Amino acid sequence: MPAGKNHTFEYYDAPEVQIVNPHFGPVKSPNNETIVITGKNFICPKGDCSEVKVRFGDKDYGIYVPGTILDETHIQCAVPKYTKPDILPVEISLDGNEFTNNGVTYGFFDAYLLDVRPRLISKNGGTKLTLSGFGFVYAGPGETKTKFSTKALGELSCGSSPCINEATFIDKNTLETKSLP
Amino acid sequence: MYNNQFTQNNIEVWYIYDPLFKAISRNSTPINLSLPILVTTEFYWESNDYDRFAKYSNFTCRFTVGNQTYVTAARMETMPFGSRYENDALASDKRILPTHVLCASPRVSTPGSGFMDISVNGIDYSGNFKYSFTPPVDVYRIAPGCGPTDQKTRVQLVGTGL
Repeated sequence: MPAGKNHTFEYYDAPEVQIVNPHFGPVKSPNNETIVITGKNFICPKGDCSEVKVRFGDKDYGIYVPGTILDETHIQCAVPKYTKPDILPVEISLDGNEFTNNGVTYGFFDAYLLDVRPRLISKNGGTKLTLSGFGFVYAGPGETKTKFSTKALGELSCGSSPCINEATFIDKNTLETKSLP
Repeated sequence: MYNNQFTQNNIEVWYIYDPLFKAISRNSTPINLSLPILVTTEFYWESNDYDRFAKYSNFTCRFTVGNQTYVTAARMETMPFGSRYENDALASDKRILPTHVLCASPRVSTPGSGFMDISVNGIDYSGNFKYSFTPPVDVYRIAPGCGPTDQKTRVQLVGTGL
């Protein structure tokens, strides 16, 4: 470096994405949904917040939307109108260049059920059923449910309530539940 | 269901009367042999639909020995043995419906005792038959090694698991 020239490089505390709320929503974001990203060190470098970006997806095929810093631990952004069901990592950048790599996800759901295994189930209930399809997302404990009806009679009753049981999210193509007696 | 809305894909499952597995044709096999096991079964055909069983069942046998579990494929079987294939082609009112489940014992690594269970759908098991795996059958030597064609020569087999 030529003598007499001074260059500076400023380090800032690396931001970290911890929670995305809500962490799922419908495909195509029909109601112009927004999310709030919670984390730490959301501080604009050199006070310039014009480059804050949020990336949905990986580096190569990500969708970038501008983010708004609400405070040091919160960023708000619009959910992009992503057209297929998927679960994408949400990462942020304060300078528009370097993104976090924390792997917190947002799910675009459009659940479609293709198959249930097994098809023959005990009338005693309790059979573990594997539901396969696409567009499933993790919606939180107790939030995903399955309903049992009959072709002939429509909705079934289990006691005084509909035959609805909780389902467990396995991956974006698989749910598990148990049959009711 | 997400956001209080259920899908409308209407995948069908069928409740069945659980078949009753009554008896098994053998309760032990050598660890190095896979042998057929017939399970006498009450299928409750007056309540269960044979065609549905034929299409959607996933019969399996499960052998539990200590903390080891072995699962083998199984199928419904009509008697006389093997007539199931002709039977399936018959009109439903002429069919002889299955009375047994046929599966094979697994080859296992060590002898031991445990239980055998059977499943219609590959998930729910019942039966709880006592089952054991015996030391391997192996023939080391036959004596004598030859004999005349017109005699019933007594032959001695020397080996293990006999």
